[in-house]
Amino acid sequence: MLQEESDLALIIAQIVQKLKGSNLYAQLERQAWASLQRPEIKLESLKEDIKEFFKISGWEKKLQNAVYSELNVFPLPSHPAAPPEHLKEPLVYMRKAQGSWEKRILKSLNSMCTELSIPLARKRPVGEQKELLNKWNEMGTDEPDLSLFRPVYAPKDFLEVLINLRNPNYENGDSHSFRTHLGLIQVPLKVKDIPELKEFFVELGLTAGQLGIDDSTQVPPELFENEHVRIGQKVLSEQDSAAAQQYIRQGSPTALRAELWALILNISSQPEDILYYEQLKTNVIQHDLLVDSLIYKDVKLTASNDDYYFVFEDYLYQVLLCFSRDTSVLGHFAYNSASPPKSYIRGKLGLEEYAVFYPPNGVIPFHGFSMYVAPLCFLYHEPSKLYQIFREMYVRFFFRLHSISSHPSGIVSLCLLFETLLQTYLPQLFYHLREIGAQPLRISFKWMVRAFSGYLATDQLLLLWDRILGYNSLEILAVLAAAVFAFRAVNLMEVTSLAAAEAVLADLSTLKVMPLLQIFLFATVT
Amino acid sequence: MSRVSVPCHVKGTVALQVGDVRTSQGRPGVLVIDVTFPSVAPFELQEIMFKNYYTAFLTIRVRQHTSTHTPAKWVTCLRDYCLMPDPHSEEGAQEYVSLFKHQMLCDMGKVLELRLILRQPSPLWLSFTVEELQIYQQGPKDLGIWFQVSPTLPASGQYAFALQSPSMTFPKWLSHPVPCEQPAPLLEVDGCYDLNLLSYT
Repeated sequence: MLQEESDLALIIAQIVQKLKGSNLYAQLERQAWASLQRPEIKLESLKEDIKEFFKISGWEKKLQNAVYSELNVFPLPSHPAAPPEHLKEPLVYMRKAQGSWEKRILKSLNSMCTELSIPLARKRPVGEQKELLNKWNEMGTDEPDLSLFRPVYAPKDFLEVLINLRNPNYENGDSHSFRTHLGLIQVPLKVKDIPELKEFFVELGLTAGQLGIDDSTQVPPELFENEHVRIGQKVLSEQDSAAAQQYIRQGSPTALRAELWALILNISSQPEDILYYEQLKTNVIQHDLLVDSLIYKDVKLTASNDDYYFVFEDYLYQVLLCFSRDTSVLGHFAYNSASPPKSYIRGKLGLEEYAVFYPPNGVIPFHGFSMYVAPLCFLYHEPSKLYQIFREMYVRFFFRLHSISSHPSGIVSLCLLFETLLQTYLPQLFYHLREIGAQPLRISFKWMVRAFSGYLATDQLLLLWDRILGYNSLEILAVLAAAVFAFRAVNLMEVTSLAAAEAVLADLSTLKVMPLLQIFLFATVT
Repeated sequence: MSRVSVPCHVKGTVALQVGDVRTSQGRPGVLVIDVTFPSVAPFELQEIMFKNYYTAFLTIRVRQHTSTHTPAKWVTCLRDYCLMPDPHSEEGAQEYVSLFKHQMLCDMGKVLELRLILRQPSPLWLSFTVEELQIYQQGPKDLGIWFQVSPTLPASGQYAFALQSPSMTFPKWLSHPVPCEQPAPLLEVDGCYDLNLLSYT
């Protein structure tokens, strides 16, 4: 039909436009020119011969991977009349709520600035620059006085905002009726129910092998593990992103995980990428930003205190400090409901040519932000590669966990999905917890906001993040949260206060993620 | 396909409800919007575009000009078009929608008047309507889709660097969209880098 053809043409045009500015385009052009020397390229059939050459030499596969990556990350072009804000977030009241939340964060940051009389940014004197350069690989040994700094916000502050989110066109009566939700989230977003989740997560079913279940010591490896590893190696040798994404839904062997994630995220370490990272490092050395202190404080408070991650403290600084200077991250605000904070060069307030985004990447870290990076340190040891992987994970997934949007993988939908699953399949438990003043979301929110980082054992966390990449969705976090409650239901039914419920669910480090998910989705009698 | 906007007059919405609007408790689930074209001759309709606001189903009736002396009759050209797959949830609630000639059940050659019948069966919403209604007729004929150079890309705002060519000038602070280009150095004024507090816009 005419409309579908023009829709497809629009998508193709958008992807072509995006890729034209990329390094891959330049490389393909160079390869095409170089291939003219080859004997099999004939002038009469130039186009077909070059296409054939690309196919054989593997460049077509690289292009396919790049296109697949774009389709995964960027939303489809919306209606031509839709303004850019609509692409960020279609619901007007959510945009407003996100705007007010951002204002609060900015006020908090500004007041910290004025109270402590610290500038938002300053150029480091040459001596300090030299010192930092020498200490670059061991910034963790630095003990700056951070006692006056406080995190801009913590997940529980964000939860309060989400609890108060209301649609003005929705019947929000004061009295409880069939319209009020029993949980904390009161907006009627569409979330999947268990039959839909079963269909969505079909590869996690009881009849399919899983790493995390079928690779345990009691199961002979010939049944599943060996074959799965063999297929993984084949996928890597073919360098096919789409195949890797499908493969990883059943888990990734530990030895192949780093390469598989890089393939799915379409990260290949070119010399240009390393150079880019080095340039960011130079930016860090030359200028000191206020957010740097926030990052230091966050790392010291969270990752450094964690048994698994404290060894990676130095890596975390190297990644996060560079991350906050990376302006290429600004591109993701096209599809993120959030907007980057703006500032003006002193004395030029209101003049657009002196307007800057602060921090340069537009992302203000909150308490626990460094936990997004920490698990990746187990996989990647080279700072520029670690950096690229984290940046891609952030602009694909993690940004949705701390901005208000109606996206199915956004934190609001995840909270509603969690509460709905719990209410529907564990109604007694839900009712009991509600009665004792222990709304389940108050306990599980912090797990979901951090994508369970710091709560699960690292091997289990990496198995969970395999599935996030495989399904290109964060919904599995809500399902796991509900599954954890289901697992500890017996203990939870006996508690009589929020503190006791928190205590029952305080330690998740012994949990095995995949059996919990499988039982909750596929083996629970409803 | 080029198209030309047709100036239209949208009459106020009329709620269809059993009983008195003032005294009965429930909210109307059906609204009717009449669209007339006072200053335009009967035209061929190409596209109807609007922004949805919590309408679940849309029916459109059209009254066309007839050459004979029989009075023009109302004909349904779109029946129960679904705008919200789940009327109780937010999906599709505030989306921009375009309806084209080929989706209509009848020929739209000589349109005199349109009647939009909006339905929202869910009692959860306080009100529902369609906004920014625009009607388009066929523009000057073009040579066909295969002669188009490239479809126009939607406006994407200041963050969609990817859709703008790198040669456009940006403030120095902002770098080019290409991840492999040099990241922009922080803007310096007189050798020092001095920012105001963050602004709330």
